Amino acid sequence: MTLGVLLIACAASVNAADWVHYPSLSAPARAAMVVGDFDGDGRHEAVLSGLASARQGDPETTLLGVLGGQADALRLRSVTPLAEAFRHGSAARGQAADGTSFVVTLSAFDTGHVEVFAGVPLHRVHTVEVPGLTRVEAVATLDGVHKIVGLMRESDPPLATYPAVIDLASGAVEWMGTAPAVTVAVAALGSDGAPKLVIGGTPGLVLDASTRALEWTWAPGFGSEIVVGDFGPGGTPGFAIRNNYEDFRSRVDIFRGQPYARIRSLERPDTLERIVTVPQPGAVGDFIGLAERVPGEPDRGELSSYLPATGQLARTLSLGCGTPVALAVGAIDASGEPRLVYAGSRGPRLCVADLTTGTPLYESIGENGPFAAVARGDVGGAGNEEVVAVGRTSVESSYGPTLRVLDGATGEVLRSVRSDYGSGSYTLPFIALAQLDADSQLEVIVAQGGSAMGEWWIEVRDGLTLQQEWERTRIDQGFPTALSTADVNADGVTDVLVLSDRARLVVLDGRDGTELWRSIALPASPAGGLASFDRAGTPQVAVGVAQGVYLIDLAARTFTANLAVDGAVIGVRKWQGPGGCRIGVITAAPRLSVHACDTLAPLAEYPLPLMPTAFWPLGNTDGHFLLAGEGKLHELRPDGVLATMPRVLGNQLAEGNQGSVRLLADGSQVDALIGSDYLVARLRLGLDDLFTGNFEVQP
Amino acid sequence: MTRASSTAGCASLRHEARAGLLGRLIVALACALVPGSLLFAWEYQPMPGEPGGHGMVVGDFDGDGVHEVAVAGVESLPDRADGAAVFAVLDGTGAQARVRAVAKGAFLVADDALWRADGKDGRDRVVTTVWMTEHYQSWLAILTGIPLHAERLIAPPAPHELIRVTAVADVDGDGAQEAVVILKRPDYVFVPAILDLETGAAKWIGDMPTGQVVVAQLDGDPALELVVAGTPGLVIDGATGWQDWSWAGGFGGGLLAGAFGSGGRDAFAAWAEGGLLQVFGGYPYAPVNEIPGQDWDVKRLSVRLDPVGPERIAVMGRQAMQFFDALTGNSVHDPLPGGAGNFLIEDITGDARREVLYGPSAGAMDGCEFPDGAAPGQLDPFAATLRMINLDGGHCRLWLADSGTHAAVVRGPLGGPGTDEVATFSRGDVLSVIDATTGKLRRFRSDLFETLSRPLSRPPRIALARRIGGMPSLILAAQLPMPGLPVMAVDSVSLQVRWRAADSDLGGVAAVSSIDLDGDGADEVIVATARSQLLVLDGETGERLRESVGDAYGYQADMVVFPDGQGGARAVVTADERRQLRLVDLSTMDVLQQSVDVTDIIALRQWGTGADCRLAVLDAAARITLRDCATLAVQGDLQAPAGTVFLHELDSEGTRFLIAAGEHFHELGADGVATQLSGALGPGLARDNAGDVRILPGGQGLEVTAGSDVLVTLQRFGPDPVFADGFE
Repeated sequence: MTLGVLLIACAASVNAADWVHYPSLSAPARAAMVVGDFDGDGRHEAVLSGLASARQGDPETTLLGVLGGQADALRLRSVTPLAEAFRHGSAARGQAADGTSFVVTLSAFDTGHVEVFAGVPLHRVHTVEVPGLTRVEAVATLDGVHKIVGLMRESDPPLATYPAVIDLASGAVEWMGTAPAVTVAVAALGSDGAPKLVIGGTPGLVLDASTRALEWTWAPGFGSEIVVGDFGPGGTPGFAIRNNYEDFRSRVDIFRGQPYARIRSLERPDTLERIVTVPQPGAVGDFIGLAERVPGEPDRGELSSYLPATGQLARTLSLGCGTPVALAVGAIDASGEPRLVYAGSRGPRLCVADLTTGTPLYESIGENGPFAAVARGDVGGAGNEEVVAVGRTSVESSYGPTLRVLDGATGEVLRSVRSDYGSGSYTLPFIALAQLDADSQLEVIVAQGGSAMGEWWIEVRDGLTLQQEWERTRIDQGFPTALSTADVNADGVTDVLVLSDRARLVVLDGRDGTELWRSIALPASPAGGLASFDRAGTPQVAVGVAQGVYLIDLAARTFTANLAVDGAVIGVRKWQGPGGCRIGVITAAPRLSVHACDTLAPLAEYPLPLMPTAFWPLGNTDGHFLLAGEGKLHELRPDGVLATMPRVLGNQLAEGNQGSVRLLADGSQVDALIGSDYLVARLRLGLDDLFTGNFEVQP
Repeated sequence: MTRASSTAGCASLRHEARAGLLGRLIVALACALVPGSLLFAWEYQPMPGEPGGHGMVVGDFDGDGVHEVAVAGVESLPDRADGAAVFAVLDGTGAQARVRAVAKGAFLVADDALWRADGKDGRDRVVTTVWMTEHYQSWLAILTGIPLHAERLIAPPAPHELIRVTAVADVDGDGAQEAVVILKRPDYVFVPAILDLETGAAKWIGDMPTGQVVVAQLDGDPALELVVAGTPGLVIDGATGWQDWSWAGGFGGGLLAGAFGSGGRDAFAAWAEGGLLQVFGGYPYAPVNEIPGQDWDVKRLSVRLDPVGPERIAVMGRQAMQFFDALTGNSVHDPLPGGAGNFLIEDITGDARREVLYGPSAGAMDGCEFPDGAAPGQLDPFAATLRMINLDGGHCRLWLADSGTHAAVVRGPLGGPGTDEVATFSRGDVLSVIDATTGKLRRFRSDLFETLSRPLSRPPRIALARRIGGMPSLILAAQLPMPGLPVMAVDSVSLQVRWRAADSDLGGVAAVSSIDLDGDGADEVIVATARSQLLVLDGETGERLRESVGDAYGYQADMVVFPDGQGGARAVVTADERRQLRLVDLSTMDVLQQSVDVTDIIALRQWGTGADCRLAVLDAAARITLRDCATLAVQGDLQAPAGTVFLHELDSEGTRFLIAAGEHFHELGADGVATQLSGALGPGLARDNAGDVRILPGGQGLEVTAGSDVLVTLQRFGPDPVFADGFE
């Protein structure tokens, strides 16, 4: 049976997230980090840019993460994928009339594409184009209207940039300075409380932000980094400038507001990385904080806080995540105390430290996805459903991927362990759960390619302790392309089936990893699939690879049937259909076909309008499926209609045909556990009846 | 032609023993020779170029109950870039395999395999694919006999083109063998087909694209199965054309079928990525084993090593040939040397032991035995050979590949006084010396012109030069594509080079001869260049003594050299691109006479001295004109059969000649009737008028030593016993 598939561009399916877990951000705050109250709960959150680092050849997603803690511990509360790359972008915080913050981003150096995000999760509320805008430096509210304060280039080539004030709503350039500038900041420096523009350049300038009237000049000039704070006498507003010398030495000049004057200079060797305003809880005025490298200790940084008036060192914090390459201060956790949020040079990592003691409060090592390798079950053996998930690799070569056990109901991280092996640039991890011993907890089986071709890692860990029980390496050439389990030798213990890059099925004894059998090599392809099942008491496995599906009697260790399919196999799945056991195959044709388990005889076939990464049958069916592909989930209905669920869930969604999908009892909702390049999510999806029966169907 | 006409004018033998050139006795044979009067002959059959490179197969091709090996090689011809197929038959009778017959086809084998087919007359056939130049397509060729010759050439079923034969077997179980072939459809897709071996008619043409098919008995019905390479791989019933099984993973190239399955049943194997050999069993079809790859991406065979049990898979890599049990992958025999060509394993010599034949092979030659136990001189270390070794190791036998033509021959006491040997220098740059009495190879060497086993661009020339107090020199000349060493003198015993004429302007030597110009008992060497310039070289050193004026242009010339009867010598050389005769005094290099009443001269022949000196000129129209040596004036003429390339007078008046036309020697009578004397001796027989003819004393006939594209032969013809001794 072949059914045509129609695509519904935007099915208004009801869907709700049970929980979403964001494992990490790679390259945190490389482009931007701002602190504000984005959800209006009175506490700060840190918004920072990041990347979902994918395998070579896969698209790289730019993310805006929100780091914060409410009643719970600090965590990545949300991650929002951006449509454009953000590597050389900039961002600034704005303040809405109701006191909530929003973030204004310029996605890249000279695109002029400005977006405004608000809320948690961050969602896009406004977009405007400002041709020539090269950096967003601040967002000021002038006369009750939000303005972008930034830098613009006048013409090609962009030899010089000039300060500018732009209407955020319309993108209209209201003012553009005539003298080149390297940075610009906004601060209320006068007794009138009106915001001023502090323009980095030579000479340094202070202008009234509204009238742009010149208020003061500083002939030696203002340098490349300006922070504002209460640095003046009696805690009055001021600002600090970092100037770099040609020999890499630095000088921090601290200025007071009206009447303007330099009140202190701090000379530093070539260790100074960033400067930051450090509040003094319970005291008047702010410290000026100098974030510096520690010579000879690449894994450690320091934040030294100085009294602006005297230049006296108040305290030094040792920072275990390395030299801060980006930092901000905000009360981002439940304590309400100001915290130092910084991207440390180790990795880099995203870290939060107590601003008074330096005590580490949060540390996240960047991980490369996808995080499609997920499974669920009573992992800990306590009767609770738990989820296991593993990413591809750590961004730090000395660390391997992190295996996490999440609470099935909340997504909270219950346990985690970081492997000590490096994995490869191209490899996709696979995960499975099985009972391999006598205790009550399940074993977690992870199959992954190493950092070198042919360097395999098949490891089995106890689901509760996450202690490794056995591992096998270098099983075959290449790296694994599929993982499954079955009791092959009828000893009552599940054995491990893994498909190698050479398309060879390798069977490992579940007890200790001893190799029990390996098949002949099938035509190799970068993807494949395994689906094991039982037929008349004998274990079978369907192997999908290249353009073929092969049925192997694992007891007899013989190939019993095989089938050529149209297009490279992406995934294989087994389920119980209306007339018996079914094997489903998705291929790069793209196509989904349904076959009888015993003969692989074709029963149904569905051409697909998109390239799938995974599929799941929705019940006892030959024609109702949930598909993952192109970053979204889709419902393939029995009439061949494909309804796309609008939410973007990330690249490499459920790649490797991984994930767990259950049709709930009433048949109207689906419980889906899936992972993508930046998230692991458990979603409850409503199957929308409105769009069945070809309502609003587009051919 | 009748015997009477062929023997007209037969008279009693008249001996005219005169002091001949080079001390040769010129005897007029007055009495006619007759067909069937071959008294004695030997044939030396060199191994063709690229031996086995176009296939080898074992069969009983003459129906004598003894197997032979057909070896397909190639001869690259000077005028045909793609060459021609040459088939050598290796006779296994007795413990010593030998080349029994070599024949050349008017086509090129278009594949690298020969297949054996059963013949209804008890003689096996060879089936292969040949390229028919005149039709500009490949046909199915069925060869038979010894020498192997085409019995049928069958065009493929239109509009298809024949790509290759992949098997010969009774595929459909009807009791008659078919050819399983790959055809090319008009849409350029290669498809499998079954052709009737008698008519070439298509019994079945598949529609699945493939480049290779093997056959095996894989199920219980009488028909064989076709295993079709491709993705998916297919097993097709040979009788119905229905698909019995398919394998989604595909069967790669290098398919192999044989009785190496479980219990010795037929199975098949296919190459997979990564150098894996995957073994598939018959019904119920499934892969049964995988043998990991090593250095074996070249050739493979299913061979029976043991009297019982399954066959084994022999795989030849460049480094080693290995033998595997198909079901376990275990090695079942010590590795043998590898190679890059075809191979077969059979009891070739009939000694109940198996030999491995590599064709072609380029391995080490040390310790190997050459035909007739001949001693090799210097050899090109990379020269192609046909190699035979015992399966159990040891006893290496080699046949050096030697592209024809082999027409350049000279006969004389090459091994010293009292010896009688024949030297032949081939286009394959191989100099061989053969015992004139037995026809056995005595010594040989290669690479004299340093062609690195590439055939010389034109047929070479050879002459014999006497020396004072030493072994004579063999004078070799060749036309090389680049200036170099076109003339050299080689010691006739050691085959070491004595001298090379190193002047680059010698490029384009057309003919060489020798004669004693100064009466010192040692010959000088006379060279005719392609531009008809004559050079006199010192026979001992190769030093150029004098030279004549040549033409501005020219591509080929021929000459004869003879004494002038006054202590000097003269030469007649063709000039103006063979449209002129020029008589030159070799002492002064003056041109004494010119004749322009000739066209397209094929050959010159001179005999007699003084007033009896005669010159015979053969032209492209096969007209023989008899001329006076001093004036070049025409004294008579005679029409020879078309295609005549060789002539030798049978009487002093030049009324009868021994000629070579086609593959045969003939006697050409005064009435212009030619009587065939010899059997087929190969194309290109006595090319360039090369050969040695001796009238036997006492009316015992004549002996001719000559070569063709495929052999060197000595043929002794007797006179007609009926007409001898004065009948008439």
